[in-house]
Amino acid sequence: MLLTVTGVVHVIRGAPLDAVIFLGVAAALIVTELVRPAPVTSPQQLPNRPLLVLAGSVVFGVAVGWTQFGVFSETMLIVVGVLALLAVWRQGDANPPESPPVRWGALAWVALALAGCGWEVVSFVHEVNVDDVSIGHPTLSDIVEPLLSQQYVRWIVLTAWIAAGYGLVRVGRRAAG
Amino acid sequence: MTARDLTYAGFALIGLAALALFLLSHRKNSPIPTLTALFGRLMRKRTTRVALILAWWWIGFHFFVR
Repeated sequence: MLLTVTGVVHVIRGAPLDAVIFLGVAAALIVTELVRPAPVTSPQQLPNRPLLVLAGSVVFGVAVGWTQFGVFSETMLIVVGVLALLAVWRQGDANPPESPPVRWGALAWVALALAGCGWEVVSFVHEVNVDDVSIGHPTLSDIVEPLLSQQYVRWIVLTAWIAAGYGLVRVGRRAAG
Repeated sequence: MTARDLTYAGFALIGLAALALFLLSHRKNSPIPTLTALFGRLMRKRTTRVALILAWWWIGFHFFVR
């Protein structure tokens, strides 16, 4: 549902590629849920080796993010995305489906996420669509993109992004098991 | 304060709040769950697991490729 809504938002904001990505994954997920293959009860867990992950992430960050993005970098990002999705897709829902109650403190994270999304939406709506970003409300993209044009910032952020992705996949596979 | 400054201040405030929550969640007996615990809880279902991975990937794709 959330993926479909996000896809529709991308249609409205005039980003057809993003819309295709989100609506495509939503459709594939619906098909998978309808077919509902037997869940894998014990998925192979990814190793928790922080130093190894850090080293691998740095190598990835340098290899992919050292120069301006081109066909190689874009392909690598797409490959990583497909692999990450496949890594968490094959497991079904966790068994048993019931999970421990959520601590009230989780609401603080929810509130923060809503505040972040809300602030970005406000900035997007009030964004002045001109080259001069010194006026109007810059969105997160307007702020981050100039920073990412710098070589060192790009590979540091890319390193953090790939490490976060590995952590997310690892947590996801453990949660499914 | 210009509109632009206000926007920057808002993002900075949200970033600082995230950092504060992260630190608070790692204190002993904290009522605030760590991000790992929170994502672990959310990712018990395949739909949310896939949605979160897609969100992470799209952020990278959006900022690096576009």
